[in-house]
Amino acid sequence: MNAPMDPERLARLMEDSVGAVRPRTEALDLIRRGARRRRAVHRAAAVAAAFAVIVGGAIAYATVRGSAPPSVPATGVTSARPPRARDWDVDGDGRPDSAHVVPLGKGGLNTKFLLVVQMTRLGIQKIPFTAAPSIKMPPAGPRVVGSVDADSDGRAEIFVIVDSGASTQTWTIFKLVIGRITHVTMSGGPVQLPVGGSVTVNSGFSCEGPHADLVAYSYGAKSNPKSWAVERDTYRWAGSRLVVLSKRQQTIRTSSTSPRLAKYAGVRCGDLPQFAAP
Amino acid sequence: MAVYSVDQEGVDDFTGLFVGHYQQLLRLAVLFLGDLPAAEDVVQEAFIRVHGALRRRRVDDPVAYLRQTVVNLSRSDLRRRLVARRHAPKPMLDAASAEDEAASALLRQEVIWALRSISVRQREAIVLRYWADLPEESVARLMGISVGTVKGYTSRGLARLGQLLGESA
Repeated sequence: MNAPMDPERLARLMEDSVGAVRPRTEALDLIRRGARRRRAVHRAAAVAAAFAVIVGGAIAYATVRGSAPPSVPATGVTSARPPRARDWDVDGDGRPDSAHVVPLGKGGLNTKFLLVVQMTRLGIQKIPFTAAPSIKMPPAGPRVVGSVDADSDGRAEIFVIVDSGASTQTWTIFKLVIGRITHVTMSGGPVQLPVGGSVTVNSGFSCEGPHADLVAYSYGAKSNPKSWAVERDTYRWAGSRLVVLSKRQQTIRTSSTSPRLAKYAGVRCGDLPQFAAP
Repeated sequence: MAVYSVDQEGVDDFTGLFVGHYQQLLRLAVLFLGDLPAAEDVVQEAFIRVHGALRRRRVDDPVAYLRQTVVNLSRSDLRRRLVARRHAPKPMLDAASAEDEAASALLRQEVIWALRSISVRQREAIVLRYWADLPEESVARLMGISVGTVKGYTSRGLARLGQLLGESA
């Protein structure tokens, strides 16, 4: 027979369990930056709303006067989503931009790198990031794998491979947010998307759904032959973050060569390669 | 009661609010969610919201505001099953930080596992009452329920935790 938990003992256990939890050193900075971004978005929304009122008023006025309503300019106020940007149009001006990675350290193992983005409208921006250690790059070390408008916001995101090994790569994403190239985050850290793998374990992601959500998927062999654990996590873009919408896990029974299984591996996102060369 | 404000540059005693309460709120969110990255997201969002509120108007008790926001956001996150992604094959090198070590240590904690096994409402009531040491009236206000219901949740939660953690009669 079990007794109810003693509240005092429970309080001690809870205190012990979270005693090691400390704030990240950059937490306050992240909050301040988030607050600044939020203010900028509110300002933009207020301007857009005011513009919508002016346009709406003009339409109403023209309709009352019996003339044909004027066409509404494509401002983004009324259309839900701009058309997808061309590949490599990072700043959304219709012209291709470029990006490359340079190591920050001199000699020895590098783990600190710089993504250098050359944009036709906004010029050069550099953003530091960390990746798996590399002595010689290229060809070793992180590299830019492509740039497509994954979130369908009219600006292309930059995809960078930050680690690779055992036929699996880890991809991360950078995007332009309020005029700055920003490392996209997921669950409190930089985005890490596993891509590729082996016959028994594989991963990938897609960005081709109707809402331009990023869907990360994977499969893994279970002990039972022809039985596979598959996962499908859906993330929605929110500024520079990817926020979990849903996580789905299930077991499917099929062969290792089945197309049902293949859809849980590799990249399906615009012109990005399904599997990048090692 | 401390009154906080934020000036146009944001250089103010908001920092004091952060220093004084961020860690406790982060731990509170960890107990709610059982997941450090999700807890960081929630507490960061709560501070961003209180920062905005402080700029717009006087907030007499920003700590209560923060705590309420953390409770609400944690509940929303749980509802949407906002948990950390588990399937990255290898963490980046610098990701093996103290925070991540704390996260893996967390998962090994039996009490965290047990808290995740009881209902969300029971967990909220128990954490707020016995870990945050809030009076039942405050817990009721935070959860938007009556004091009697708080008592019910804590009583049933303690009984269930006793089973899960093997408390002998």
